[in-house]
Amino acid sequence: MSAAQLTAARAARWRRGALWAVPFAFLALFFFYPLLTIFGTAGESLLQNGVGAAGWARLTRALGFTFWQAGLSTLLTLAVGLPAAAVFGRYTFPGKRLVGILSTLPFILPTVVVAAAFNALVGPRGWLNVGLMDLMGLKEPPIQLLNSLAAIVLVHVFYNATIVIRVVGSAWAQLDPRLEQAARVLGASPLRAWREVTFPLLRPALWAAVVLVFLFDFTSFGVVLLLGGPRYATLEVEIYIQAMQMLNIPLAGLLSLIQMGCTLAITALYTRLSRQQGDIPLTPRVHGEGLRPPRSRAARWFVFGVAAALLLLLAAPLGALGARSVTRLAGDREGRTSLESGLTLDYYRELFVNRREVYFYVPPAAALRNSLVYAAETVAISLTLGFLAAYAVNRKGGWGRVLNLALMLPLGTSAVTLGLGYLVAFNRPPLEIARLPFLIPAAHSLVALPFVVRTLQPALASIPVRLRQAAATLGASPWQVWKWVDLPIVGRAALVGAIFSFTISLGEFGATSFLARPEYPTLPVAIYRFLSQPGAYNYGQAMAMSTILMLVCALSIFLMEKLEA
Amino acid sequence: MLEVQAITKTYEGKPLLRGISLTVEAGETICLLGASGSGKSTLLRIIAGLEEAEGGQILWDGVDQAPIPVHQRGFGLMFQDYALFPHRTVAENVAFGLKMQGVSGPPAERRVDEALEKVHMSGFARRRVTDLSGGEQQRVALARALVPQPRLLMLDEPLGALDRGLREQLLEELRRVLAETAIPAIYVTHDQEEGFAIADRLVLLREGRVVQTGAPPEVYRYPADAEAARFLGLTNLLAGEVAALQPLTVRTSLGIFQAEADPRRAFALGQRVQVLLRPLHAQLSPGADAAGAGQLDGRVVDVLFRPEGFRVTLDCAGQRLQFLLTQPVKAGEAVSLSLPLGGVLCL
Repeated sequence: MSAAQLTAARAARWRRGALWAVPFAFLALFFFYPLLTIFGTAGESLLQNGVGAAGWARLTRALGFTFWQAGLSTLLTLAVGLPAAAVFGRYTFPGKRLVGILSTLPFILPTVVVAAAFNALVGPRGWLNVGLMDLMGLKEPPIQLLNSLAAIVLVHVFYNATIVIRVVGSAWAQLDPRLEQAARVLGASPLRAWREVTFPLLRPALWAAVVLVFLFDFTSFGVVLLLGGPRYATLEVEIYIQAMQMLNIPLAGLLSLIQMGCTLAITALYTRLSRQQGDIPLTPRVHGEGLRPPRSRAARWFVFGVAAALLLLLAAPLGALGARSVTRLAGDREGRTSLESGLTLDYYRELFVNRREVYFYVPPAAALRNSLVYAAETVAISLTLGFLAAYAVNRKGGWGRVLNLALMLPLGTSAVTLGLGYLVAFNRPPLEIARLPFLIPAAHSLVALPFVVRTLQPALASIPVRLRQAAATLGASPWQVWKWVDLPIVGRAALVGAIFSFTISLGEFGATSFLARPEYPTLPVAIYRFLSQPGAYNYGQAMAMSTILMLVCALSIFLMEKLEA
Repeated sequence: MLEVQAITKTYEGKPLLRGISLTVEAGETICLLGASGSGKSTLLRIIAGLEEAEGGQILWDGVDQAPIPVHQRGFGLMFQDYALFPHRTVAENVAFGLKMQGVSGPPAERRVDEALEKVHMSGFARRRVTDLSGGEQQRVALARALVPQPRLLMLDEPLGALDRGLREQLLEELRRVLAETAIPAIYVTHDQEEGFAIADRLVLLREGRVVQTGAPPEVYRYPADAEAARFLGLTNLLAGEVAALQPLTVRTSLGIFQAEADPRRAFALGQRVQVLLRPLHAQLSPGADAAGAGQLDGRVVDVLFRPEGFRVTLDCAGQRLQFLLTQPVKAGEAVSLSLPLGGVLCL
């Protein structure tokens, strides 16, 4: 080999190495190092001092409540989700597309927005309470739903019914309707046909949905913190309280460990179940063949009822939020007895005014600006790393596989644990969190990265090698090949990834609540602050900010659907 | 036994079945023959009770079946792509109907074994249905439909998804099994060869109507109209008019032919008709010596060798006609064929 060839070969090796080395370095620094630091700190301190009786009490209470609320939420989610899955999996009906799109919203709506939305619907200043007080001349809000288990469960149902609809409903839609008909012709009554054929074939999807819903309920943070009030603490909330309020980092670390153990166990169960689902062979057939309009009277009522209920569950809180952000209710001032409502844009105008001379008060407009900056940084980081990682994963080497697995780990780790890890790992001399403004986009990128890679990787894999080779024989350098071949082909996927990480970053609350400096809040952190302060204007501004965030998310979903179609 | 009376059904606003009536007698196999979209499968589903007719009645031994739900009708239906239960083994699939009847244990096992033996699938009882080939799935589906001993067996394009060689073999087996069990059957297909092979009686469907009913030889001999003829694979059709009645003679652009016709039909002098030239009956004639009627001149466009003879495409004054000849001819050659009386049919 000539010297020039050697140099070229070395350069190529370096380029290949960079593909996986850069994402790996990122994961090592911003994922593994913080987690290991938590374990180290927690372990060291616990070995020396133990947990203490008070600590144990809090721990067992949090663990017990986490399981209890997750189990209860899962059951109720099934109760709502299964009929809806049946309706979506078996019938066509007018408005199905609308309800379908609406049901994708919870996937991406930030917890603070949903908490604010339910607050606008059933909170003490919400539509229902103000309306009832006006109607019945009450002095106090009659519905005390906030700060209760009911609120937590209700919002969990709002979030996760969609998962049941997606997972079970699509399995149902893919089920050949002739299987059930074959059973009927062979002498099975409708109930028997369901029991012998339909249900066994849906069971794997059903279990997968149950475990997934349970996992999400188990790791719920923002919803419980914002709607559960001080009496209810899940593991995640307890981690937050211990770390941020009690300053008991070792206990928070221990809770994180337990949380991760549970999450890993549930995820492992899910992986096993979804692999089983792959085993059930379904007759290959045209998608949607089994869908038909409801024929009988009973079926029509069922479809109508379920669709209407779903629409109400999904649209009512979001509609209440939007409407509340532009409505001044008499209850917002003093005498809460008569409902004098009027449209107003005051809450939006107020976002840009720094009214109070409080040291830490930041006008919401500034929070919005912070959020946008962090989101832009997140897009840049996650797309760069996402491209590198997607190429590395597509190569058949061993490192690609390892990276692929490592990339999925942050999915199973709660944002709260991540936030705690950063706090513990980076907030000590010589580093100080106040000087590290890139921690928030780093955390957001870590959350978004698995999705970005999952979007880019199949698109990149679909490019035939011959295209790149053809471009190279025509004289294109590797960089030019990427620019003129790869990028145009995966452009849409990259855009979807960008919108996704942007939206994730805008709404992220778990990790940010640990990392946001008081004078640099993000939008969700600001909403949390405004919601937890008294006063009609604070409430109104929280509504306005949440509405803005909700609209941005809705726009993102719309764009992503357009791009993927 | 089964009596289908004036069944009507629309699909997405368009009429699909426009008053279908037919009967199936004890032990008889009828074949519903029609192009795809002619409503054959829908008719089966209506008889089975999986769909409701908008008009008409399904009677069994004179009893209206409308109020009887699917699972109590006792009609077997073999689905187009079999609809075997993927989560059950071969034996469990076949036993399903018995299980629904409350038959289990050794008696059920014995009947399942018998049924599998009948379709040559004895060794497959414990296999998963998803591991089976198309032909094997077809046999299991047949066994599953037969085991509960239905009053009526309906087969919806049972050979549609299989390749040619396998189809012929399975068609033979189906014939044998249907004859052995003596269960009255309705066989739905779009393939006239299948229909000829399996049916005691053919029912020709077109655009939601019954066009013709009869035993296969009868239907093949006297198709109801030009389109029916075309559907049965008889494509040499000419426009013509009746030139004489005794004997029946037709005048076409290609000459004057003496023709036969369905004896049940009457013709008038000068009536416009369609004339069918049967591909099998034509013979090369050495010259124009045959007696007047039945002479056809043309130029050979194409010759295709088939095991049963030479399929010759002729250009006769701009019209393409196909005949099956016993002797080879050359492309481009001018030939004249003689058509005996049985080779020309007036429709």
